[in-house]
Amino acid sequence: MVPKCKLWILLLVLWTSASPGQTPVAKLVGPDPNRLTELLSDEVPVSGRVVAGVSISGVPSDGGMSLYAAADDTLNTLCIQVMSRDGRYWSENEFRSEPAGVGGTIRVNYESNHATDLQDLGSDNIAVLSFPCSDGDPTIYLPGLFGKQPGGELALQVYVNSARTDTFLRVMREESNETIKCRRFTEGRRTGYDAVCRAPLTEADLATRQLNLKIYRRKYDRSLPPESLTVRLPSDLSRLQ
Amino acid sequence: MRLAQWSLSILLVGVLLLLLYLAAYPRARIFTLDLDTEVISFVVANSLYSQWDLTGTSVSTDPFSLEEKAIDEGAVLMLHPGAQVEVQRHGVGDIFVRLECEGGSVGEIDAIGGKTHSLGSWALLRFSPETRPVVLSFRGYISAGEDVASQVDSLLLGGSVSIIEEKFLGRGHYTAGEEALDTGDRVQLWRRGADEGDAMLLRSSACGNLETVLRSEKDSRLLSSRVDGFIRGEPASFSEAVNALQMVAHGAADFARVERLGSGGYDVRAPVLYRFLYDPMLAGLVALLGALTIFMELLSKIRELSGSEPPSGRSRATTALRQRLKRSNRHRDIT
Repeated sequence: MVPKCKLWILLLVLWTSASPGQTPVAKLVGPDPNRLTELLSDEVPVSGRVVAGVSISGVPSDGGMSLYAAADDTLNTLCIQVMSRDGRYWSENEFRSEPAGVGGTIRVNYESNHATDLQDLGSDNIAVLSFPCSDGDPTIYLPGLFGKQPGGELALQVYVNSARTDTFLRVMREESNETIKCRRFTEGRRTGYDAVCRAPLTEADLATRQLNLKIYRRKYDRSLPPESLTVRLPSDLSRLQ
Repeated sequence: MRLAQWSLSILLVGVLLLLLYLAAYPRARIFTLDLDTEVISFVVANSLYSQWDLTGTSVSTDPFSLEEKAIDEGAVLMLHPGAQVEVQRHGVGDIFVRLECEGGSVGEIDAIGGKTHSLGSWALLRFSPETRPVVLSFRGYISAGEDVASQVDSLLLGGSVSIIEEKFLGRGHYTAGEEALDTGDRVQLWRRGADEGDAMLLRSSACGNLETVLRSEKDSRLLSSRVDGFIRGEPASFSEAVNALQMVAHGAADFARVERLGSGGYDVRAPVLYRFLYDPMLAGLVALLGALTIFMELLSKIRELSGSEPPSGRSRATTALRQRLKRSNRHRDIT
């Protein structure tokens, strides 16, 4: 009887994750389940993390927040940090969601008190860092989308707090590796993060559902320890565009 | 009297309008940055002004390797337009120059004897001044200092931004403001619109899309301002060697943007007030305006006084007749 029950639950989970057109919504669970823990101020404690945000560009979006995750990633809560480039806006919250469908998309119920300010910031000025919550440092990142953005060439964007170093992103694929020079932002205040690494995505990347990356930083005559990360990808390009 | 007053009023309004026009008239402003800093970044605008002597220098051309190669005595570096340069130094240590050109060559090293070695899209130079200071001249688009943030250890140490504005008549200039910079500030110069040199660089640079580097993200009409300047680093062997790097740069700009920790940053502009104080043309017009106003006031007073009119000839005769009658009546009473 018990194995039959388990089978039914498994089938239910698979059916939920395979149903097209049903996008699960991640709901806020902590630290305060009633309102986002966020801050918009000139004096903000800045995170020392190298990776400040991971997003996918080229996906047309009419606003709101969403992220891409595999079914396993939703077993635990999802940690979502949002940070502006100038460091004035910062938020860190936990969300819980049903497993993502085939496309891997999860909508996030992100009701900010500073929605207008965030909208005014525009692309490249706000970074979303999503990962399954764990005790240690995250290694798996779930690329997020935040705010309006036009369609275009599909690319993975990693926002980096480079410490003003020369930063390179190595994309490790089965067939070959690709090294991309990250672009440093030159204008305005860059307290939150200061560079973006842009890796164009192929259909083969989407088929693998994830991408292994390494960030190398060179500070004049010394190299800083490289940072490894795995980024989940949406499964199907046609579902995005 | 009335005609004179009307003419004066028209003149007064004319002078006032001219004054307003001159106060708002756009003028060439030269911004001067005089800084002590640990880090300076700029994009090369012209190769001719950016040729550096590489005596006693080593170069690294692979960002993934720490290996360095010594450069021949007397070799000269010629930077390509569009190359991004970052110069850094802590205390009186080595001076590091990082060169970058996306998709192109940062420049070439010309050695004595005609040997030329072309560099790739990335290079790191290490200057180790021993007895003589290092002076690196440049023409380019500058950003001095860095934002104070996690793991950032090279900052602007201090300095000033001063503005020189041209007089309306003649070739003279006057100081139209000066602003002191604090440690940890970051300063960039901006101007509206691109001149021929800027447009050519943006069009023809082999170093990727410079629009993303030089044009403002917030206002696409703003372009980073081109300056001429030099960087100087003194060797540790000097008796009182100046720490880090000294930099002086001059260039036409509309304003300087200063990013400061704990604030939203601010702009340094030339206040209009300084034109009234230091431009003889404007100062003269203000004096003329004052004189005309006083003259108008005088005329007005005179007109007021002339309002209590003196007795006319006819009324004077009547008064004399009345007095005579009074006197004759008195005489009759006595007799």
